Amino acid sequence: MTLWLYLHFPVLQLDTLYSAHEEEPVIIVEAKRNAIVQFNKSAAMQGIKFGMGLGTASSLCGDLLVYPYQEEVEKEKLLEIAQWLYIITSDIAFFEPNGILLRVSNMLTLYDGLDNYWQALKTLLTQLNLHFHYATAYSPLAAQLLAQSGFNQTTDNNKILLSAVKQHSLTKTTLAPKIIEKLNRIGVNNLQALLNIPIADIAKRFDISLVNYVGRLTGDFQHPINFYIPPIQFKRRLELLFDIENTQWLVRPITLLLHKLESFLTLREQVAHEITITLHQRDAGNVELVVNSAQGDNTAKKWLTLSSLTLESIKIESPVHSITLLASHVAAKKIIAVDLFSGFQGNTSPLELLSLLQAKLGKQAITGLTLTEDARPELTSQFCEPFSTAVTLSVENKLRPSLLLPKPERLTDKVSIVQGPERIATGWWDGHPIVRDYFVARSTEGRWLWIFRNHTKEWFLHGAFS
Amino acid sequence: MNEIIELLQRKSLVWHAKEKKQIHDVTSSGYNELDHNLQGGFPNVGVVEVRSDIGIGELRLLLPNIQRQAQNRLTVFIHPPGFINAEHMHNQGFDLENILIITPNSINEALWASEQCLKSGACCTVLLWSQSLEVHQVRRFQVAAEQGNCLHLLLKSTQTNTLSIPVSLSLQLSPHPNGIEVSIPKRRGGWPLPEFIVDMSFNWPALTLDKPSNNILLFPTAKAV
Repeated sequence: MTLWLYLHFPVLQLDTLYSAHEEEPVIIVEAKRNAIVQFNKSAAMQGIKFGMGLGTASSLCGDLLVYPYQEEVEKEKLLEIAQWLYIITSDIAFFEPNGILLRVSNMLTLYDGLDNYWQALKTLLTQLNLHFHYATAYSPLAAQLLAQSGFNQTTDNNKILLSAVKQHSLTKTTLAPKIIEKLNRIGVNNLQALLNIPIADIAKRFDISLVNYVGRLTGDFQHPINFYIPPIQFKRRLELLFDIENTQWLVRPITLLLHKLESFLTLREQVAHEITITLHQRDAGNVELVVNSAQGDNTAKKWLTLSSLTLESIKIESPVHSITLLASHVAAKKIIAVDLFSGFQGNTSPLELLSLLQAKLGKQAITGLTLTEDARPELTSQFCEPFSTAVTLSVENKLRPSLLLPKPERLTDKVSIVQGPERIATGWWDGHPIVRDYFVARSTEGRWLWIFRNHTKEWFLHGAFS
Repeated sequence: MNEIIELLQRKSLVWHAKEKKQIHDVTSSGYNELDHNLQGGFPNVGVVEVRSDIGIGELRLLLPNIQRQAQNRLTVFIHPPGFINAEHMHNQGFDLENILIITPNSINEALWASEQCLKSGACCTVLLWSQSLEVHQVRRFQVAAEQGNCLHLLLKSTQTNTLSIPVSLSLQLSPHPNGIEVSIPKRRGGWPLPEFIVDMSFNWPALTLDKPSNNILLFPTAKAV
């Protein structure tokens, strides 16, 4: 029989909240039923209990922080937990919204026994700072039942497990209330009584769902389970306990996310080249920050420097209630080999410098230079992405100015022509033909200019031999 | 008396011979007259101020030196007064891969970018076109340049106020038919120098007016028999 381990997270949404003050009582209320489903310790001290209405709770405690229950948040968190646990265990299945099932049996050879396996798992789980209950059993349903009731033991002894399961009353199970009522009528109140009835008799008297349940609980029937396959991308969302209006204060929660990114990348021996930080605003659309690192980084520290530079340049219109971090471009880590004898080496590589500059000034502010084969002077020299200069062609050594004007301007200076003309008549094939006679001229102030006369005999200034 | 000296020291207006910092290596500028007057060439590290009009040949004066120093490190142009021409840079022997051009949106961004480039250690020379710089900003550049082993060239127009700023070397350039007229109003560890002329007729024969006279051939006159 297969051994299963079920992890139950009773206050998952509460655990996901980013909180600066642990002392304040926080409750999470399911709006439909108007019942409290989760609360923290300090709320429990004030007398808050499960299932209370919001009215009762607020009369017990004046300064409650109330949040609506959101199943999506828990589901997202479950995914995150699964990603985290996947480091050490292979078969993970979700029991939404707040449970995770692990198939233990096929991991035992690797870890040499249940105890070692559980120790490894527990170390990883405690790093997540979550509240959880756990239990092992020989069927998923039994494990779930035990974990949800706070069994908190790992054992492969079937006798202990079975007797623990049998103690539970039917109300703790996932059976429909209708069936439980039917069972109650025939005097079956707990699982002990139910499991004593032979399965053939159950089949005679009740419908197939109860038969299935009993079969799955004892492990006699197969329980179909979809196992989790980890995504390739890193994407995390952090809900803020307080809305943040000041971009400076966003740095701290972002740091939390970046640390998670770092552990994700480190484990996979990867670096991120681009991350996207989405700020979800309360009354306005999302703000997206794209942070680039040309070299690729995996450390939270480096990403934080780059992100805070980008943060400086944005404005948020309304308070931010949550943050999503997405590693949009990741790649395998490359080792940069530096020659010991190559002389001076700075502490920043050109690519690192580039990402730093791009983060602050914007991507368009930094360019490289490249040469093309076009004979039109304004097209021969072109801007390109930094460090992406194409293989330099063998260009004829012509006298060319060092500075070009963005666009030729009408010549206004008094000049005397020193050299020329050089006729450039080209570009007829793509609709931007030029017919120009270029001259080198010296202005009366002593500036060396590159001027041209076009086919309509107008004079223009195009550059300076600066 | 003591107080005055202290004040002067604090403002670093007094130069002490004993505090002479280690003189960094120099690299030839590529022009003999300039090398001679600068005792070898431009410093490899530090802030050099260049006051000049645009277009009189100031870049042509500086580029040979930058090209010699580059050695696979970056040359950064910040806020140039026009588009840097790739063709010219290529002709001057630059590796275009190692050129970065930064067009910042504001003067503060330009200052920030040049400080980052200077101290990164990835750059060899950073050229910044900026009109007004304050003493404390230049001092920061100086520190950053030392940190990153980098040369900072500050290019200014001649019209700007001539407030003294703490640079390693200051050059004043003015046009001359034969090349460029250079004067050195300030340099660290040396006296100011009066104007001298850097002859460009060898490097840039097309961009000088008086051609060198040694290529003139005398018209063959009939020899007296």
